[in-house]
Amino acid sequence: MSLLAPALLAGLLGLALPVVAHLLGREPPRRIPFAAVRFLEPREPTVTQRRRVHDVPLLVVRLLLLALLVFALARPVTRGERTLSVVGEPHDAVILVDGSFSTDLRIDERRDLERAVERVRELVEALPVGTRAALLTTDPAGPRLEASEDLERIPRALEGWLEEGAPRPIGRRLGDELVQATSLLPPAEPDRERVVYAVGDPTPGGLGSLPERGPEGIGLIPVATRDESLVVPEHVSIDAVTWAPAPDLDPRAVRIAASVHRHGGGDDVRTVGVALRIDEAEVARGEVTLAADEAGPVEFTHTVLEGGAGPVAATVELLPGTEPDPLPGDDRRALWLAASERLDLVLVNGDPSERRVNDEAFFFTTALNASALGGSVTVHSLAPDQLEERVREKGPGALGDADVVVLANVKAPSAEVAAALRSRVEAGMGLWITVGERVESTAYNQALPELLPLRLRGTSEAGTLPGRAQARTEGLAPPQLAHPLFAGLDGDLALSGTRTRRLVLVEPDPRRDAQVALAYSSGGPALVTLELGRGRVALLTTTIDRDWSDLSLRPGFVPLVQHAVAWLAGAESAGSGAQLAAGSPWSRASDGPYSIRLPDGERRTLSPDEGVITFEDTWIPGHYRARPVEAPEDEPERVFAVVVDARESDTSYDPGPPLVDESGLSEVRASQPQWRWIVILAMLLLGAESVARARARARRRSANLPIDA
Amino acid sequence: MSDALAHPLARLLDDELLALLGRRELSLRGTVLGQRQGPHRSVRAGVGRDFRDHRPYVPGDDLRRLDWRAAARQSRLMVRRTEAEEERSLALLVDASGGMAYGGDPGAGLGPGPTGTPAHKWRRAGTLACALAQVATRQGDPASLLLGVSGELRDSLAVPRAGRQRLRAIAEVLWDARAGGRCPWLPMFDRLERHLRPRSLVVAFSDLLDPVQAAGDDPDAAEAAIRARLVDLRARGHEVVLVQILHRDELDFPWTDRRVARFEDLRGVRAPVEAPAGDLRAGYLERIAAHLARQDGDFEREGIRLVRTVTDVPSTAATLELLGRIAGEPTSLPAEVASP
Repeated sequence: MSLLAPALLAGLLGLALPVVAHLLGREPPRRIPFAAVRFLEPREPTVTQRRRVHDVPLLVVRLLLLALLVFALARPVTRGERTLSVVGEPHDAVILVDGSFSTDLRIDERRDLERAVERVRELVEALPVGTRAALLTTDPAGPRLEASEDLERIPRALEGWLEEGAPRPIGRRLGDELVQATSLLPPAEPDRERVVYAVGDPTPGGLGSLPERGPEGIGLIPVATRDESLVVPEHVSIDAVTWAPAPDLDPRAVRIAASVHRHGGGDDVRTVGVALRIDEAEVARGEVTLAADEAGPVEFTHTVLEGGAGPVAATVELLPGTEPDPLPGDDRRALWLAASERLDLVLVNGDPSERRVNDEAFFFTTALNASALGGSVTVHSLAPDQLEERVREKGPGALGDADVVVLANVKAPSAEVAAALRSRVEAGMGLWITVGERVESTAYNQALPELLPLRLRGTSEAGTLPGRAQARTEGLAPPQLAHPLFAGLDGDLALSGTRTRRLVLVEPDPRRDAQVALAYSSGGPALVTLELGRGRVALLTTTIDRDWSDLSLRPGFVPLVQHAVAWLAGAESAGSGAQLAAGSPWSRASDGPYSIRLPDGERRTLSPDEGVITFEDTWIPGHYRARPVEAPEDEPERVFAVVVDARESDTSYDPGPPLVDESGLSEVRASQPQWRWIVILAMLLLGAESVARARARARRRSANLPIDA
Repeated sequence: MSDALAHPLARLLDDELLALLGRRELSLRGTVLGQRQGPHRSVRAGVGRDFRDHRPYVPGDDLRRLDWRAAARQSRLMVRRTEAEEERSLALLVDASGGMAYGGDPGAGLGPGPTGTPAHKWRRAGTLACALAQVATRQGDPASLLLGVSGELRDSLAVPRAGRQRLRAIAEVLWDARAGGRCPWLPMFDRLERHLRPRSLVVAFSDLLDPVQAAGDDPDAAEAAIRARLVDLRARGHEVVLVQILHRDELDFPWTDRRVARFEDLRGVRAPVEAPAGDLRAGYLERIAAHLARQDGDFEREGIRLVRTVTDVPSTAATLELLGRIAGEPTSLPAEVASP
């Protein structure tokens, strides 16, 4: 055992005070020289000075209580087996705490987030004096503290956060918050290191999401909430739920498919019961048998009743097993069912070809039909001149029913088409631009200056890229899974082997709020997105046929098309596609207020801000209903479901990359406060004090002495 | 001349008091039998201003004293006799024990009293004694002074002398002495009697609260012994006045709170008493009142005038009261003990 504040033991000297006070202490009497002392006679002896201790046991007990108080102030701790790596010299640090959903995992009746807070407390105690530390969590509503030498406020803030109900079902990965964390670091100073301590659970979404190195000039030290020796109990989650119409069974029948995942487990197989609830009433049950770390499908069919008042609230949930699930938040998944929910997609093929290998439309429609969206998307193919003609005839209303427009290797659109596209995108439509031989950069930049995520700089052969003189093709880097386009995507798209021979270069422009969803292995953007008004735009900088790339031949092309189309259409979708990850905002164009009913029955009324209703408090998984406050009764509700990010259900052990540079780090044993036994001892002593006091009173009463103790 | 350099006489008797004393005489209730002619009525007929009676002329009588009118009425020579005015010796006995060192007199360097009252018992005794000496010497009466301080007797002025030099000497002794310790009453009486002239005026100054000489002595017995010596002087024809000087604190006991106080005997004879002061008050006031009432009775019974004065009374009023009481007038400044 050791003491964190041994200097406070000097307070033990204070124990002498009650003894001295007991023996000598009294107020010195006023001294009054007087001539008539002869006539002063006290009526009874007055005890004005006590030189003998009357109640030794009572004094001893009280002294022990005081000593215990001093000892507690000296903060006794024992050094545990666990060690922490900290920078040995005073430095600037950010403590980044993983507050994602996976930290709700209960092991030995403690949640991982509670362990994270305990690690932070140990870390704070281990940091050298003079260190300035800031705090950030992956929860946008969590505590955020600027850098300061007052380190004690950090664990206090985290404990308050825990009491407020953290963690929430957040799907943010620890590694994605590094850039924001480094922004909290004070400006660099010579001879003063800058470090991010990333405190998280050793899971793929926690420490496993950290890069090998921190940003330039900034150290990265992972701090695990637990080590591998702690046995993580298995748990089961529902990773995904999708539905599709099943006209082969009934015109209004739907198939509901759920992916059930067993995380962890031993050599045995486990049968998991799954139930389908429609409007909270259980309508079907199914089972799936799973080995360790295995996912399996469960399928239900259901017939949506005719004459229903709109989409139907469905929930797929796990039936309770013999053991309580250590991560229960992912045991339910909500979705909305509709028998006739379809997407309208307009594909403008700028380079139609008899040969399939040179036809964008062929690859696109083939991939779309092979995806989960295949049964619910209606594709309308148009030639560019047909589009221009329809726009000339109908104006922007020519695209009125389209959810997504794909410009596949189209020459720069005319001004009328460009205006129609812009108008519709701002109203919520999705636009996907893919390039090819017919795309002229300058013309595109002039025609679609605001719709293009980034301005085009012309085509380039892959082999001529700076620094890539030896290569003749470009591969694709792993997708930016933090991009909302890839929400729900589990793992890689397997596009790293893609060979792209030619591509369109784009001009970086920090003023535009463009995001790169997919990049080439050289770092150049491959798929860039932009949100404009209520709509979304995506730009693929190579072709979707075989002309410039073999991307369309890759298996990852199907999920890429599926996610891109779903994301582009998702802005205004009200049907099955309206599944939001918890915490993602829901928005809708409206001139009037909306009433939103939350899964727990609470109603919120939101007023539009510049014509857009934005609801951000989507932290409760389940069914949400939205309706304009002044809408007629027969107008269908806008609905959306909020689900937990399936990646957060993965609790497999992943401590992340090892420390790259351990020089300058010192190993500190984590201290464990020894409060419990001090509290027990204090309670015992308080009891003893009461007994001693009662005995002293009884003794004085029997001796007919004044009772003053 | 600054106060610090003024003669003790001027410091004990301020101008107001001096002006007052200039018009006063030290007149006595009884007659005197002095050695020299003085202002006091004698038991013998003599040279004086007040008519007494007539007697037949005998050879040798002073012819200036023949009363021709009476001779005409009586048809024989008659001599007019007047009251003889003879000197009366003033003997001052002053108790300078520690009990008198109470109160305050910042001007005399004595500091404020425990309750902030400025009047100091010892200084008041000096003023009154000096005032009597001033009146006496102005009348031509001799005066003597005996001082009992710190267990010792100061008798340098024990032999009665008249004149201003004696007055100044008395003032110097009274000013220079610092009250403390015990007062050796009995040796003081012994010394007094060696030089006391017949039918003197003996004035004793004391608080007469606790005249014991040692721890364990009976204070009532000690007081009775003093009273016996005064009675003896009275029986031998001397006029005896006892001036009891008290401080207001001794009559009111102003400490009423519950804080513990340590009362220390100024004479250094008795053990300190330590107690919450407020608890002591009622008993003290009861006892001091009984003590003073008993003293009044005892001294009156013995024919000794007891003049009680409190130091918060202005010195002029206290002096007038003393002169009046010596002349046989009733008191106008009664000293009452506070109610508990």
